[in-house]
Amino acid sequence: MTTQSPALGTTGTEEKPLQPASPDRGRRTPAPKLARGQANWGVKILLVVLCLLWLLPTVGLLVTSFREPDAANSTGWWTVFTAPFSNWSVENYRQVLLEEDFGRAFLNSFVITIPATIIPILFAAFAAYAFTFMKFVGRDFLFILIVGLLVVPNQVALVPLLQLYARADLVGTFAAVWLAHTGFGMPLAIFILRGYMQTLPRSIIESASVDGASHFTTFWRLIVPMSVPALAAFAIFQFLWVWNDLLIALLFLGAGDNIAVTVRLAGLIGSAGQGWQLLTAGAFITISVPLLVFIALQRYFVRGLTSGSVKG
Amino acid sequence: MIKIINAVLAVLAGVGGAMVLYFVLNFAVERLPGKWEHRIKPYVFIGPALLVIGVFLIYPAVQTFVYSFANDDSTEFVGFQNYTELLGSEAFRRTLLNTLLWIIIVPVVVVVMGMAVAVLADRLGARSEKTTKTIIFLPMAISGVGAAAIWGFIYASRPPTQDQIGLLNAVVVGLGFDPVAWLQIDTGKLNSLLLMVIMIWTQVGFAMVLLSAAIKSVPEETLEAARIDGANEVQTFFRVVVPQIWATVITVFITVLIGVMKVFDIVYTTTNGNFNTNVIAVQFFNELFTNGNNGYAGAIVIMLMIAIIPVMAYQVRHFKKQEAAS
Amino acid sequence: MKGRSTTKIAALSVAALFTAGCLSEGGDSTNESGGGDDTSDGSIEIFGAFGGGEGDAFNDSLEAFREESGIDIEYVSSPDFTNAIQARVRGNDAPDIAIFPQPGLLVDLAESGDLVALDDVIDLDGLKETLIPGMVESTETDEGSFGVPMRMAAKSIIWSPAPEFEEAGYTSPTTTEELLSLTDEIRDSGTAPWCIGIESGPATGWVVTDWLEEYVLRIGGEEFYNQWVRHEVPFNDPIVVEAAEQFAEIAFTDGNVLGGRGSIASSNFGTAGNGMFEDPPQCYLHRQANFITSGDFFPSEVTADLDSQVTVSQLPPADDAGPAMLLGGDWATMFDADNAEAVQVLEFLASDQFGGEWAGVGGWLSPHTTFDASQYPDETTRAIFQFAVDAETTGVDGSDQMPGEVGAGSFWRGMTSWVSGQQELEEVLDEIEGSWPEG
Repeated sequence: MTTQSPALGTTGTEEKPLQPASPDRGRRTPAPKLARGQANWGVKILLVVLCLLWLLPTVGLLVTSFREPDAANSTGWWTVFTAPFSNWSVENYRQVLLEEDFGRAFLNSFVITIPATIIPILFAAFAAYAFTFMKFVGRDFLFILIVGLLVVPNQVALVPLLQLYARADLVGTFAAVWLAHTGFGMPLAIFILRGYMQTLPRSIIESASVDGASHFTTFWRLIVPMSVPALAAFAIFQFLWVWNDLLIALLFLGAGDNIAVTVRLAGLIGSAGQGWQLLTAGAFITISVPLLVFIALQRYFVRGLTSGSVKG
Repeated sequence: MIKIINAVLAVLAGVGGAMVLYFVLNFAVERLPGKWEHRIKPYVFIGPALLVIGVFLIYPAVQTFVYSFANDDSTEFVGFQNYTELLGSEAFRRTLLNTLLWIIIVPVVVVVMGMAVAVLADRLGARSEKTTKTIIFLPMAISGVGAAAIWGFIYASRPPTQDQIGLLNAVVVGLGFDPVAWLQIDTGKLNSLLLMVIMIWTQVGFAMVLLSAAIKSVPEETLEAARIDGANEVQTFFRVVVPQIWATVITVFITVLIGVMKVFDIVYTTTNGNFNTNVIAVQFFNELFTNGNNGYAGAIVIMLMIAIIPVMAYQVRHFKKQEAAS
Repeated sequence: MKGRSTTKIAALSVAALFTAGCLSEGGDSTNESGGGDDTSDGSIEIFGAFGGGEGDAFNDSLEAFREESGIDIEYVSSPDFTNAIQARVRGNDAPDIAIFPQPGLLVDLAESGDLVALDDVIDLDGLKETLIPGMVESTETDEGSFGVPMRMAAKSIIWSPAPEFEEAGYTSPTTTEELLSLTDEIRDSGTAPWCIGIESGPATGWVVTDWLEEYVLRIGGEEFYNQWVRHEVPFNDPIVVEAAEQFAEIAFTDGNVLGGRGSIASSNFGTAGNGMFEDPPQCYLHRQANFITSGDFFPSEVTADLDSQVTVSQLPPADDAGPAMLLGGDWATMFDADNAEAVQVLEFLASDQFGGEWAGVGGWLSPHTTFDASQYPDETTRAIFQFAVDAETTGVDGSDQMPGEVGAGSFWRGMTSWVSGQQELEEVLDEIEGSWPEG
């Protein structure tokens, strides 16, 4: 927040020179009064402690992924720090990566996830725009209906969908999964995007309409650019849900040429849970992708996008 | 290489097809006479979304609604029997009570913590902010199976004579006490609370991302105005920032709330609802797949849908008020 | 599903999207391909629950058959098998062959008419001559038999650490009395005799249900056991109470179990027995099925040299009855009687010729008494197989056969809450009896 006490507020409120130029510098409109780097020590310590607590479980998993099952079964993962790097092994990773077809499954997961992220965002952005800025009969009813559907567990849809797909001969095709994720992700996408759009200044849309811009133009030229943070946020969530999904990929794609990486990993497990340690390595291989997406899209969570538009 | 080209082609076809759809529809509507154009356009905008929702959610939901009034294999109507039997069973009431506890605790904690991280990290340097947010976000990216394995290494319990592989018990034993079977103790709902910790761990990142995006879009001018008026940090936050992002706060709160109503993997993989930790989504899953009882499963979903309506009504009212004010 | 080109998928997806957008006049480009008919495309899909090393071994066991018959067999596995198969069957997308890890769900699907009775499809009577009794019978309904066993698990096995067990002068018990006195002897020497753990994530409790079934089978006999499993006698019959008390005497007596009664429910079933292999042993007796030697449960130095590291015996019978064996397994079934290739594959899976390669890897037992035991990797496995062949009383895992509400629900849950001391035995048994679905 920019709100320092007046005395502090007058000193370096621009980005600290200490900060290396961030990749988003180009997008950042002047952003005059940022409180960058003004956190006091209390805040810094609090955040550091929180981060450590948040990381702790993941570190446990990371360490375990480098241990052999005998060791993981008999001693705690933190014991590796008393005898660092003894008994470390990349065996789990080797086994997962050398698994037949792992590369293809990895590639497939991209083919599944990218359209299954973009299509619902596109559909939902149009719908959210209509729900926010247009007036039409049944608007509130439809909105409540859509969001009410959020509580419907996806499992109830699996059987009817399989029947539908079997009839349309879609089982095993990417389109089957894209459409399923589009449908299942839609209520939340509409809900989140509308929640964001209603915080946008309505005056902009009204002035655009006075200037004679059609809704279609307003949508693409004004609302989409202004909603970038929310679009990016939802893109992250949808991406990682689809990326981590097992059940839909298993049912609608199965194990043919189009097998997803989650299905491939689940196939490493024996009937009594043998092989669970491979999943620790698998978890870190697969986690890397949504994490990179998050880091890449983070540049859109910046101040100044809306104020820029107001002025522009 | 050919595989990669094929993959790129598939992605382009999928995404491109969706884009073209809107341009074609819009082009068609804009040819209509003005009045009709205005009437029909909203439906063009929501049409595709509504259509997939219809196929993927409304149709199954209607089927579920019908099943909820039929017997276990949906061959005969039984009226409200599923509802009365469920609500009459003590186990189900305990499940409802647990779910209620989750609903009361988790969304509030998640929103407050997510807001705190978003606000505080905003004051760090750009690089520190990104690092902090990435760390808090990290748990979201871990699959359900991974999360279960991770927390197994926190809550695990082994006989006192053996080395502990659960971190919490290692601490307890290190302090000279006997190991505790954490997930089996329902005194004071301890085990349910420990499971909620897992949910909070994964969801704070979600709240943080959305709230951070909202905070960043608060116009500088309004903050500047407050500052000139002599408001201090805390005052500015609650009087200027919070009202402007309130819609997002509600959105996040409701999303987490609904996520909590559907919380499944965390409880299923750790206790499967044993030791009095059962929640409604686990019961739904077990009715549908373990017990093959479409009737009970349907009734549970319908009860969830009814429970969410008041929350939605509040949100719509809030939106209308805002719309009228502007 | 197989071998479809990406371009077709792309075309399909565009078509699908346009259809989704109400532009229904757009030409339907989906019907020209046609290449995806499920039957007789020379490829048989088998869907099962076991993957990893077990899946590889299964594939290896099919290799020779693949070449000989020219049938292309694709095996797909998922730990979510139980849910996925139900969705696929109801969604009209059943695989050619499914391998069920328990007969209960298979019988459920048979009763709802989704499976094919195998009586007229393959020679069941011939199979029964060499199968261990009860294996096919567990998949029977009034309409016929619906599954054939592909693998067997022998559950009534007591494991002990080999050199230490003999050095201490202990001998394997052959009667329940001897078992109890051995337990007392070990306990009096200052070591916990038993290692017992039942934690198994969502399936927590199955180990105790096995224990209870062991004693219901031993005290009540085969006929009573099967009546009990089919709910022809009440679940809380006095014999069941007696069986539970027998288990309680072993597991709940102070000092009998490593960590005490309180640690049973929280100790993992797979690694609970590893206390036996510490130095000195933390316990000397551990009851678990033969699969415990596969995968990563026992320490690797034990599984690498099984014969000299472990001693196996059979959980002793009650009184003067003959030896008894509780069995588990995997059952293969099919969905379309006209699928000749699937029949061929099923016949092979059910025969005593199947599984040599898997047997060699370990952790797998053939359900056929005539299986060539020299293919097992060690004496320990051969001894276990022989226990099963010689058993006078056999019963297939009851919780696996009961309806889901009970077998994977109230039975697991009730036993867990009894073991962890949250509920009394009588209350638990009454609740399970009350949870039995009507009809």
